[in-house]
Amino acid sequence: MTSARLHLRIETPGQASLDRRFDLDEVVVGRSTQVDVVVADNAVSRRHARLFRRGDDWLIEDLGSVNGTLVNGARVAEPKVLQPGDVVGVGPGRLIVKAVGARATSSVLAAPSADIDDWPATTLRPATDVLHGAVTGADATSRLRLLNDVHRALAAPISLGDLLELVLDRAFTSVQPEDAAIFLRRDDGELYRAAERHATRASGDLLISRSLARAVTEEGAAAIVNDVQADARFAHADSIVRSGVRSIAAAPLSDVDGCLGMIALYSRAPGRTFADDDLELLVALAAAAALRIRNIALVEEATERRLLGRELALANEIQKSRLTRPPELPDIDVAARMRPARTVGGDLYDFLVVGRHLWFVVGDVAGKGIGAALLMAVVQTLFRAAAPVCSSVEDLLARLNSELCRDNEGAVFVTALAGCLDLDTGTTRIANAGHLRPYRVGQSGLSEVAPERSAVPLGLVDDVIYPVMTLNLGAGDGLVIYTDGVCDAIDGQGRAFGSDRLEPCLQALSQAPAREIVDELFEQVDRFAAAVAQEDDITVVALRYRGHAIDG
Amino acid sequence: METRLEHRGSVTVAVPVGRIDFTTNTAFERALAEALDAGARRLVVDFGSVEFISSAGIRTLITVSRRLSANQGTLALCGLTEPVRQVLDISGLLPMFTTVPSIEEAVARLASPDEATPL
Repeated sequence: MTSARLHLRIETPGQASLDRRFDLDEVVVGRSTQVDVVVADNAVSRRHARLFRRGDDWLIEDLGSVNGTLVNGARVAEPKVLQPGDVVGVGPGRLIVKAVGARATSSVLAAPSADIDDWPATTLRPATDVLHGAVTGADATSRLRLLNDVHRALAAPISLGDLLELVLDRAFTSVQPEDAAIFLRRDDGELYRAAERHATRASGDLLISRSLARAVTEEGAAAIVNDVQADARFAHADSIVRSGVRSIAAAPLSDVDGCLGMIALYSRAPGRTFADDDLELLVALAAAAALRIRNIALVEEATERRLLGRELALANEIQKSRLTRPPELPDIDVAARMRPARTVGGDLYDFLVVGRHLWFVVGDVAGKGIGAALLMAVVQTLFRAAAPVCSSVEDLLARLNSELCRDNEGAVFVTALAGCLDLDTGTTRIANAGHLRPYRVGQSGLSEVAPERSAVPLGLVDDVIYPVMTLNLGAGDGLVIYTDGVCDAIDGQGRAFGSDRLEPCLQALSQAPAREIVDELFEQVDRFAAAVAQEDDITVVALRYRGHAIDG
Repeated sequence: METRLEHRGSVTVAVPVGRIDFTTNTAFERALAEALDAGARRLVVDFGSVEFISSAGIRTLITVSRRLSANQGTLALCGLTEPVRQVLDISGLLPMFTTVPSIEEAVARLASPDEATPL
């Protein structure tokens, strides 16, 4: 690693001292915001002094300032060569020269990831090493003060959002980046940007390359990436390059239980690259914050679980209250059962007798939880309202569809099968909106009721014409309608129940009473799945036409 | 379940591996959303390593497809395994998507926008 050519400690009134390395040939100090080092005080001229390189030397000259420039207390009349340890006075501001000259070589840091070994602009080292070597020498006091400050602030009750803001706040005052972001890990291990801050207005998303994130969060490395513009690893991170990020410092948010995420600081200023001191501070800050984040996350998770539990209980109530008992009629034998998955399901079924017709619907709402349960309730309400006034099953689905399509930006959809059975004749018309094909059971065994074409589920596309099948059910003939939870039920080895198991099972039950078909199918699925918790709701509806009851 | 993102010129290729069910769909959905957030306008989802997709996963595809077409983007599905094709077919959704056999074809098709089938 090569360090910058001029290293200054900048002390200005009312601000934490700041280490900066300049890889420039000239550094201007003044009150103007256009200069490289700003000392905002009326005793300072707009362009007050200039530090410039000549060969391996750095010199300082006064730019005709009103109050003059001092080096070690003596006024600078002519350009003067600077030495390490010199103290430059500009009004109330002090610039302490830490190092000057040609490129100095700093310690070669261990790179724990072979993946990044060939990444010349990056230095990585174990964060724990950075931390343990941090507080030494003359800098100790100010650093300890900062950390103590942070620890104290973190000890107070605080929400996660406020905590992250606080951490960013401290990072800004102590290291003074242009941008900073905190990335936290989700349950599935993916990082997301939980908080960010910008010195000026936001300039595009703050990103982290995958390999850097891996090195920091998985291997516990603290990293400095310099010259991001030239680094091939960021080829896809367009926004970093576009926004002119030149240097990144990153540290893991880790405690004994593992890594929670990372904090990253970004510099866009020309000539400003992050240095080892910055990284030390960042690592210390991150370690302090990690403990507190873990603690808060545990508390918030518990609260969230309680809330979710309440929500699910409510959804369960909605669902239970909506599932109607199958009608008991002399002409027909009907049984139905729906078992929600671990949470609350989106499956539904319903029946409605209108005159001498039995209307029925079986559906599966994509999604789970309260949203799906509510949509399920909506579908049932629509079904009950529409069936009595519909001319046909395809008309019924078309009405449900156009209702569900309205303002459906979330692309929630419902696969549904609607049927209408004429109790006098056994003639049954079935319309299918993307639902699994039902089976016909009866005297002649088992057959799949397949429409000539498939139509999309409800809620996606308006003006769909749904395919209809007409079945002439004789006495003893019936239908088994189900949802994908049956075939998708998996066992301990991850094998699915599948239609290979469903069909023989139904074949054996083709003459059985409706109740028995439903119970036996559930039994078979349960035996197959053993104790494996299922992902999806399971619904089975069986109905059998007994023949016109007036004669019997 | 893991979803890898690759870049082939202007085309982003998402490669989900494993089952896309209700639980794993969250990660699948996030991966695709991140690709779109990062500005991907030509997206190919390679289903060669997916043996199961639930309605939740299909919903993700529909949402992504809608987001893309709202931004003059395109989506293509490739390498559909039999179980995935069946689910799309039975649910009547197959015609809603551009499907191509191989990833190379998908990339070639999307890379020349004039020939891409609008969704």
